[in-house]
Amino acid sequence: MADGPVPSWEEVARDHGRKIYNFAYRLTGNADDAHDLVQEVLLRVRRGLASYRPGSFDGWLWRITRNAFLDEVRRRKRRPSVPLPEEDPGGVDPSPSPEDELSRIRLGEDVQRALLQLPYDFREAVVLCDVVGLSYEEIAAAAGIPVGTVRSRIHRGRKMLKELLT
Amino acid sequence: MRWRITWVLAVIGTLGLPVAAAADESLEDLMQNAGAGEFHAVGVVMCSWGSDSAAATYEVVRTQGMSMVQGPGRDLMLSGSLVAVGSDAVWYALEVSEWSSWSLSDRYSLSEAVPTSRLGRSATAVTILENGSPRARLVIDDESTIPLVTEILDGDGRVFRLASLVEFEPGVGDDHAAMPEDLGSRNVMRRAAAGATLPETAAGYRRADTYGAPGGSLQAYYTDGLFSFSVFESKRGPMPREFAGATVFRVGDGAYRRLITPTNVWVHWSSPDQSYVLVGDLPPDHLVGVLAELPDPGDRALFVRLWRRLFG
Amino acid sequence: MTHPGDLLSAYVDGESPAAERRMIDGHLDECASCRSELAVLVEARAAVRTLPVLDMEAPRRPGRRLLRPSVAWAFSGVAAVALALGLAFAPGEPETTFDLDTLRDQHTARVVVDPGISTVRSGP
Repeated sequence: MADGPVPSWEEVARDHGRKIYNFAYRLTGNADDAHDLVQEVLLRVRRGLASYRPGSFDGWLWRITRNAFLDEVRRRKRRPSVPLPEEDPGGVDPSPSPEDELSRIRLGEDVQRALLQLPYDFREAVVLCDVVGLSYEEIAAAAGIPVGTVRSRIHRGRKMLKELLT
Repeated sequence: MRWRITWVLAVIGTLGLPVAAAADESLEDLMQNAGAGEFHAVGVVMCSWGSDSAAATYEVVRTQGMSMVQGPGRDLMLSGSLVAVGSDAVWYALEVSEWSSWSLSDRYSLSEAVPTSRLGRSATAVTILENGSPRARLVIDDESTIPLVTEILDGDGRVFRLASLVEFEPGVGDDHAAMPEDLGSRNVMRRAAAGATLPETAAGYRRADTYGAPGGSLQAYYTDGLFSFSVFESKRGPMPREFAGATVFRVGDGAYRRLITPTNVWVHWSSPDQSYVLVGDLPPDHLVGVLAELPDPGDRALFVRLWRRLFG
Repeated sequence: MTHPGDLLSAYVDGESPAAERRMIDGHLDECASCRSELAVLVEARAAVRTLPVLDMEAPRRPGRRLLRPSVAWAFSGVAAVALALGLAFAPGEPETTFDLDTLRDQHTARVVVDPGISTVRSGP
């Protein structure tokens, strides 16, 4: 075996399952989808672990995660950022009470809703950076794009987010 | 991404497994990954069968799980199960309501991963074998896992279809492909009970789904995981005018007409009571095997009896 | 330096190499508009970074993948079957012909939901 230990299946499921869940939840806003995604990724990781060559485990894992996510997106009719013609992404909010307002902010629902309004690739870059905690290089490796593109997407995503939150 | 292909061979070696058992999964993975990347490309696709051939150029943008294909005559937007067809301002959309899960026939396996380069990019050439003989050759971009070249071979090993990217750029810049705003009509293809005339399997293809379309025709979709085709069955009617100059060919006693487009083969025939159109990307030797198991062409029994009675 | 643009995000994330960081420091001393852009970035970054880390709850419905059927369903309703077999046409009506464009699109709609090996699978 070369440098870097190969994690056991249990270690991966425990340590990374939660990160994968948060990645999927922040990208979709949907707990059931996020749960499904965790199962799918862990399944793929399990199949791939036997032949994984030690190296950048995180890079490998996030590449699988991202591919699994995009595959699931393709399979389903719900698309994170492409509203179907009859769906109205705006919606109408009934005006909330002050208590509701406070708890919404505390639970981050405003931020989550704003995140969901970003174009997919901005949202993904921001989530990988600020929710998952990957470096720009790691995001670039996971998404198969240059570091400059990662930086640009994060930058534009943040600016759009701030605008949506004010 | 070269390691992704070469680990296949390493696994085969270390586990001492026969090639087919391990390679199948890796071919499935390869096909799943080929669909996940984002890119912008211009390509050429051409198909030839005997003296018939067709070619076209096209431009593809794939982003956010959506694809846009611009080809001669029309544009195509794909988003999950939604297909939107049109050009400029006029679009209509089509969607399947349900579909069965994808599985790959075990006659296919992956072999011969060779490092190469294409369009100045590091790539890997692989061969898809069908029962041990080459059926398709791919050149896959290492960084994005997108196939840059796809060659489909016929039963004699000659190239039947070739799709090749002439410009390729992974990731997409700031211009995102977007669904057109006004999709005009939107039709959903609903599953239907399978008719009795079309078989469950044909020459290694499995009938995966059946749809009932407005206008009364039935669509049976067959796939072996790598290639696929739809057979449309309707009450016997006049031949579509596109087939007027089509090449006639025979399978057994039956006569069929075929047309070639760059991405598909089209076949038309009629049985005594029904008319059929088959469309798909399967190679010629597969197609011949399939036609032998679908309902035979034939003239209307009543007409033949009358003719014989009148003219002996 | 001229305005750093998206290099400011790298700066906030600690992704700037030392020399670049020093140059941006210097630029920020002199440029009010970039300082306010920096504030925007810092706020947006913090908003996402302080989102609560969620624990997985038990799923509310069974895993979707397992439920996808691999055999054709009998579609409920006699009407659907009748339409599918072409029995909706009364005798004496003109015979149907195929519209190849429609057939092509119907075939495409089903092809593209499965994985494939070519970048264009039902285009031109």
